[in-house]
Amino acid sequence: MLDRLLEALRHSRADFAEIRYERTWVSTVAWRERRLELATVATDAGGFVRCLQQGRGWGSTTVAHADDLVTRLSVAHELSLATRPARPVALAPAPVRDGCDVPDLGGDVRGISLEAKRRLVESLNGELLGFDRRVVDSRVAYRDAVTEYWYANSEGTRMQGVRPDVQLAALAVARDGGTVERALASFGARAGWLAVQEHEERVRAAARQAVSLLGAQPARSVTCPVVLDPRLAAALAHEVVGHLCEADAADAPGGNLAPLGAQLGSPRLTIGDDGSVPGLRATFAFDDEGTPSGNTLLLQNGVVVGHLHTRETAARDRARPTGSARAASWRHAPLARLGNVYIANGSGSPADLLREVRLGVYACDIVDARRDGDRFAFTAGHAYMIRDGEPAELVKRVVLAGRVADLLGAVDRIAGDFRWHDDAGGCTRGGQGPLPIAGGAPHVRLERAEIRGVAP
Amino acid sequence: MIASLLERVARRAEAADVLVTTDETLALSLDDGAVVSAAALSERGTVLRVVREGRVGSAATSDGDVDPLPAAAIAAAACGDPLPLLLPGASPLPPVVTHDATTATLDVAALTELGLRLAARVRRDGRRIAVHLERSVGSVRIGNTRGVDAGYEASFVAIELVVQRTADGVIASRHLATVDVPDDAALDALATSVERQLEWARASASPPVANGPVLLMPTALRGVLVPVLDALVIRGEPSPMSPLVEGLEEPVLHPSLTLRDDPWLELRPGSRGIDDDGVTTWPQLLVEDGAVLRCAVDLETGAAAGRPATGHGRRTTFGRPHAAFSNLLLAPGELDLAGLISAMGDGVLIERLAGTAGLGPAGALHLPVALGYRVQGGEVRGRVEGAVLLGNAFDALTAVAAIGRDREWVGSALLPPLVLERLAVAGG
Repeated sequence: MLDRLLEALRHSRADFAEIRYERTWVSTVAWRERRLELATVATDAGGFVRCLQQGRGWGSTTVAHADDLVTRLSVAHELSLATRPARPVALAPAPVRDGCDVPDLGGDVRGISLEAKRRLVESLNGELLGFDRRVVDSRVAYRDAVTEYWYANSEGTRMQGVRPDVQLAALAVARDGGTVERALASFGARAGWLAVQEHEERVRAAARQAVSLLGAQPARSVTCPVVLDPRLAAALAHEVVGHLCEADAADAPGGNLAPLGAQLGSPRLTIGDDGSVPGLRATFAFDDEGTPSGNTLLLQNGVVVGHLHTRETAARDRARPTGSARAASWRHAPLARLGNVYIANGSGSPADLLREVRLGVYACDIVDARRDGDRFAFTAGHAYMIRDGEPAELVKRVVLAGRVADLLGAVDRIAGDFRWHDDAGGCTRGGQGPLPIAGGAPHVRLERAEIRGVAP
Repeated sequence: MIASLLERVARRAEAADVLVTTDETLALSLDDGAVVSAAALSERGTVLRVVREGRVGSAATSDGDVDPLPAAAIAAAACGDPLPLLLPGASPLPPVVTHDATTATLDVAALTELGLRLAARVRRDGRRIAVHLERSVGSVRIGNTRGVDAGYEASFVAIELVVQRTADGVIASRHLATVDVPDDAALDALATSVERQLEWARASASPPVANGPVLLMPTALRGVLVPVLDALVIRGEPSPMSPLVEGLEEPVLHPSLTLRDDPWLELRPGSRGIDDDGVTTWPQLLVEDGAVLRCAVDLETGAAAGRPATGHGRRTTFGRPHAAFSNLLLAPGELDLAGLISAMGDGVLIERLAGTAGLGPAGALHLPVALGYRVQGGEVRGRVEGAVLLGNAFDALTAVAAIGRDREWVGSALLPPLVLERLAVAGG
């Protein structure tokens, strides 16, 4: 396939041209309550072509069949010629690369029967429904994919590789009288069949959580110290800081790009994005422009020190590409995207963070995370009140909201219990998603934050 | 190709169907009056579904190579549960207009001209204007072993107008989706809506401390309706989370609410005469005077639940079969927008919500407000920042204070503004 891409590129008259071609094998098994909802296999194949003429903008096409590469390159070139951007697109220089990335597939899912995948999902669904009589509804979904990937551009760079992905998601719905609660557990990895074994306890934890929430009271609106568990802290890093550091964020109206050198948060806060950590969902040897991935510091001691760049934004900002150009599939152009976002480790234990709080909230897990301009709203999966330095009663419907600057400035302590999460997280931006992501963080304490509960 | 696939599985399966979809999209982005990017996207999807020994299996591809599909679908059926799936037979299709020849011919120059005409309507100093335009043409074709061999052509124009006022950063936006090329009146309506949003957001205001009425503009209402529309789709056994019970004569929502699904509307993107299961569609009343008359169900779910399919089957190439509505129409009231605001007195008017991910079980809402305004003394006083909409969608829709007269299309739903009394807006 790589030879076909290179041969087609030789016919292009554009100043720059690139082709990314993918072929993905997917299987999906979904269970809902006591019924197998879906067991299917699919193949998805196609390519994305981009051309750039000097002084113009991108012209792009998809390619459904590899036989059409030359024709579609010509169309993409014509589309580039049709653009008239006030600020023409330029690309940061990149050395010519020739790479191959074939990771250990950890039990190639293509060799596992659909029947075996069905048995796995049925068993996990049984764990949910059998946990407690109050678990009245369940959903378990399994999805695997193996993508063969080829990239070539007119500068001579050529890359190929294999990208595996497995996901499990389990939703438990519990009911007691008129009260209904739910909890979700998920797992995702750039791995194969071996990685999705032995997740029974993870699934039971979702059932346990849904049942526990039945007896919890909704949170009251209060401003107080808040301790974030690592999962919620990682979501904060992704949503509030990470998206402010995607260099193409400024391209759209309302897009915010945090300026380099700006004091964005507490001096205790250091945040980065590392696409080279082995095994995480957003780990790749190279991105969708052929740039090697790496560790990019975004915030150091509260100060913005880096942005995530594509070759286009790197040229615009006189920076270097960071290996962050990612597309959700062959249907899309790459954007500067977050991958494995982390908060750097602090010191001490989570108990140390709680011990100094007389009355506060220990917010755990993440249901939804949003930032809109300088405002944010995070919905926690559940939370505990903190009373006299100890976690106390479980509360639900916890929304942490306010101004971004207040949130980041309120970080007063970071524990030393950093860990990467292995849930099947995804991020959607610019109509592309969910793109696999990962997050890592220790416990983080906010000196003061606003909880918006249902009760006043 | 459909006939060939059906023939290949005929001896190995009791029944089968094939769904083939194609799409060709031209997409342009304009920034401050200049085309900054252009893309031509194409896709073709083929899904083969078989019934073998009473079990259902499917396989799909976006590749032109459909040869592996029969074996893969039959292998999938081998691990399926028994399901009494009866594929529909052939029947005459209603004459539904889903395609416009002019739309299909829109090229880069014509789309650019359309975008520039729209941008010119809102151009002022101190504004950044982005227009995203898409023109799609495609087809849906379905055939099965019971004689269905039908399909339709579709065209689609989508325009998104986003205007940012640089002085205060306020963003106003509107989206339009049609089958035919939008005329000047449609462009005027987009521009007028954006101007109104910017004008109302000129000053800042705080939300009321006590809970008060909330006026949901159509775009925001669409988000609040999500749990209700979910509950009107059958996905298996009746959901323990849904208070909506089909067939009860007494209303479970406010008696002023009447909701219809009409797949036969002319020139609407949601229209179609046949669904993706091969079932002929027809207009249906879902909710009448607050009582739920009918829920939607696709062929496979209906077979599992012992119910006939309702013509709402949707099958994407890689997704699971499910039921989805075509064109939803919520019956209008009598007041215009000014009348609604005046009648509300004090409260919050919500233009847009930030997504729908903050929807909890049983209709619980925790939705950040992307753009909302404080209403005091029957007048809009200014924008409310950082607010969160709280409450329960089902409960709120039993307490409708007023329904607006002027409906707007939000995607494939035609909705009026609605004043609800049992919602709260926190923060700001």
